[in-house]
Amino acid sequence: MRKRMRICLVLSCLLLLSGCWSRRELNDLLVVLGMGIDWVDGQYLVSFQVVNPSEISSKTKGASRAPGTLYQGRGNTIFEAARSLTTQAPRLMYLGHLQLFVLSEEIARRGVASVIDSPLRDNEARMDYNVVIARGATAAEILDLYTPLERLPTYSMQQSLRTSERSWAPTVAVTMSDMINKLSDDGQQLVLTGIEIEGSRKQAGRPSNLTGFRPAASYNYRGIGAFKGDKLIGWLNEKESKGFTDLTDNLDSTSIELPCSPTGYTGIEVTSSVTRLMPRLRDGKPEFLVKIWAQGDVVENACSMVDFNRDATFVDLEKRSENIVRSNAEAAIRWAKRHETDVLGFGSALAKKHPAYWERARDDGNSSGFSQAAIVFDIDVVIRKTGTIGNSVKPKE
Amino acid sequence: MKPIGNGRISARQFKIMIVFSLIGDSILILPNLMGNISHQDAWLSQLAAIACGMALAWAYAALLGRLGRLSFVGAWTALLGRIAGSALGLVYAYGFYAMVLALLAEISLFMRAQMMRETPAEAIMLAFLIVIAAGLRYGIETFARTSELLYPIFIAMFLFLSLCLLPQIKADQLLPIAGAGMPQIAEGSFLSFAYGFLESAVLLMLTPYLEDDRKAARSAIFKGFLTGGLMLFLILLLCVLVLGPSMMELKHYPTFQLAQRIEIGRFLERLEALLTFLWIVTVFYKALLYSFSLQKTISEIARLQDDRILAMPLCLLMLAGGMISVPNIAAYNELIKAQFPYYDLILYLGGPLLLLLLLAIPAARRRLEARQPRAG
Repeated sequence: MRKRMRICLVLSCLLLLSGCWSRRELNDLLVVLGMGIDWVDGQYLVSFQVVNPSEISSKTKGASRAPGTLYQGRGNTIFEAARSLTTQAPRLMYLGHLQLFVLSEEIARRGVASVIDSPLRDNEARMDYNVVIARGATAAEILDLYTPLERLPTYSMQQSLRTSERSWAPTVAVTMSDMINKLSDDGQQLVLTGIEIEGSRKQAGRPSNLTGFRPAASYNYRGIGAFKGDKLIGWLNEKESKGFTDLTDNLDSTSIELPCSPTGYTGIEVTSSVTRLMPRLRDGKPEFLVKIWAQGDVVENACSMVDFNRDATFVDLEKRSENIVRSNAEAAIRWAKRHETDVLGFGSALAKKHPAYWERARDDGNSSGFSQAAIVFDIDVVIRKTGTIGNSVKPKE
Repeated sequence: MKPIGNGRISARQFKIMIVFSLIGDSILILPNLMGNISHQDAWLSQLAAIACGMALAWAYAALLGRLGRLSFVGAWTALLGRIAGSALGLVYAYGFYAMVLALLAEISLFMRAQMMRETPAEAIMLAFLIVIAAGLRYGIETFARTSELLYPIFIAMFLFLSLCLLPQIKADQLLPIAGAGMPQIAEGSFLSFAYGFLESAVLLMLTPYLEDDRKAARSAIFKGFLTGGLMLFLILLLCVLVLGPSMMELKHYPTFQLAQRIEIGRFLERLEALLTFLWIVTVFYKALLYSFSLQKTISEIARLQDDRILAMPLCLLMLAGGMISVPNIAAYNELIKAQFPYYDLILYLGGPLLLLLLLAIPAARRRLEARQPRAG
C-alpha cells in the first residue's frame, strides 16, 4: 500500500511538468527577422517584418502570399509601438531571431542611443544582428521588398552585407554588440553602412517585383555613415569607404583597377590584406604608422602590351596598386579629419599603446587629437600570379 | 529521507564543494562588478585575488588542523563558554541566512531578467528551496556524493564554453594592460577576494564531517581554491577578450552573453540555455552549503539530537525572507557593491583569524582538545 502511494506521488509530479511559466510555444510566436525604426510626427514608427512560416516551408510551392508580413505600430517608446501591434497581429513578437535592424537616416541624425536601448534591454534579442541605415528611403520601405533568390529579404540583406564586407570593401557589417562597443569606447566613433532601394518603389513590395529577369526594385548598400557620438554626421563615398575598411582591417578581399591604356584597365584581386595602426610618440606628439600588407593576383587585363613575363611589370603593378590603396586610405583620413570624428579608431589605438598620453590629451579636451597627428604609410602590395594564362590574347594587327 | 552512509565526506568531495562554493554566484556577478571597477584589467584583479586567496587558504587550512572534530562555531562555543559562544553563533547564523537570501535573490533576478521574464520570483525561489530542503533532509553525505557526480559534467561544460569561444577572441581588447591603474585593480581584486574566496569560509563548518585524514583535507582547500580561482580567472579573461570592457560594464550578466556568443559554423549556436547549468549548479551548491551551515549552527546552539528537523522550517524562513529581502535591482546592486564584501571581511576573515590567533595560546588549545566530541 505504501509503495503504491509512493508511486502515485511520483507520478503526480509529472503533472507539474506539463508546462512552465514564461513558456513560449512556436505557434504562439511571430518570428521577427527585420525591425525598422522611423521617426514620424514626433513618434517612433516601428516596423516588424515577421516570417510567414507556411510560405517559406519547402512543401508549399505556390508563391501566392508574401514570405513575410510587415506590421507597423507607433508610440513614444518602442515597446509601446510593439505592443500596439497586438491589435493587428495574432501573436506576440519574438525577437530571438532578429537579423537586421534598420534605422532611418533621420533617426540616425537625431541620435541612436535612445533607439537601441530597448532591443539592448530586451532579454530575447541577441546581440548578433546587423544594424544598417536606410538611405533615401524609410526603414519601413527597406523591409517592404521582394528579393530574388532568397525568399526572406532580411536574410538576403544580411548575407549580402556580410559577403560584401569580406569581398568588396566599401561596406562594413556592424552587429549590435560592435555598435555598443563603438558607442561607448573611448577614441573610436561609430559607423554604419547605408542601404537604399534602387528602382521602382511602387513595385518593391509586390510579387510582380520578381516577375521579370531584372527585379523592378532591389536593395543596394551604398556608403558608410560616420557618426560623431551617437549622431550621424555624414557619408563616406565609395573611395573613402574602401579606405575606411582597409584602415580598420575589415578588408579581406577587394578589387583594384589600374589604368593601362587610355581606355583599358588591368584588374587586380586583393586576396588578403592585413592592417596595423601603430601609434608612437615623437617629441611628445602622436604619430601614426599605418602598415598595410596586401597580396593580390592579376585577374583581368585589357592591354595586350602589358608583359607578364617580365618581373619589372609586377614591380610596376605593385607600386601602382600601393598608390591606389594609399590614396583610398588618405581619402578616408581626410574625410575623418575634416569632420573631426575619429571613425578610424586612431584614438583607441593610441589609448591602448600610450594610455598616459591619451589620458592627458583627453583631459585637455583634445580627444580628437588625431586631426593634427602626422600619419605615415607603409604599404606593401605583393602580386604573385596571373591566373591560368600569362599574357593576354593578342589580336591580329 | 534517511541519511545515507555514516555522514562522512572524503577529501575529494570536500574539494569539489569548495570549488562550487567558490565559483558560486561569482561566475554570474563578478564580471559585471569588476568590469565596472577595473575595466579591461579585471583578469589582473583576479590574479591578485588568487594570490590573496592562497594566503587565505593557508589560514583556513591551519585552522582546520586545529579545529579537530569541532565546527567553527562549535570551537568558539568551546572556547568562550555557552552563552557568549551561542551569541556569536547567532551572529554567524544570521550571516549564513543573509547569504542564502542574497543567493536566492541573485538566481531569481537572473532567471527573470534573462530567461523567464514573467515567472514570479517566488516560483523560482521555491523550486530552488525544494531541492535545498531535500539536500538538507538527506544529509551531507548525499549532497557531497552528488557534487562528485556533477563535477565532471561541470568541468566538461566549462571547457566546452571556453574552447568554443576561442574563435571570438579579440586580443587587443586587453590593452592597455594595467591601464585602469593600481587602485582600481586592487579594488576589483578585493571584490573577487570577498565574493569568491572569503565566502568559501563555509568549509569551516564542515569540519565535523571530514574523514580523518586531515592532511588530505588541508590540501583539498589549496586545490579547491586554486581550481575555483583559475576558473573565475578564465571567465573574466574571456569576458574581456570576447565581449570587451564596455559590454562587461553594460550587461548585468556578461557570462550569459559569453554563452550567447558561441557560434561555430551556423549550427553550434544558441547554447546559452544549456550552459546556464554551470551557474545553476554552483549557486545551488553555495546556497545549499550555507543553508547546511545555518542548520548546523542552530542545532549546535540548541543542542539538537538530529539537526535535520530544522530543514523544513529553515527553508520556509528562507522563502519568506527571499521575497522581502530585495525590493528591486538597485537595492540589490547597492547591497552587493557596498555592503556585502564588508560583512564578508568581518565574518569570514576577522572571525577565523581571531580564532587562529587564540588557538596559538596553549591554554586555549588544551581547552579545545578537552571538548572534542568523542569519535564515532
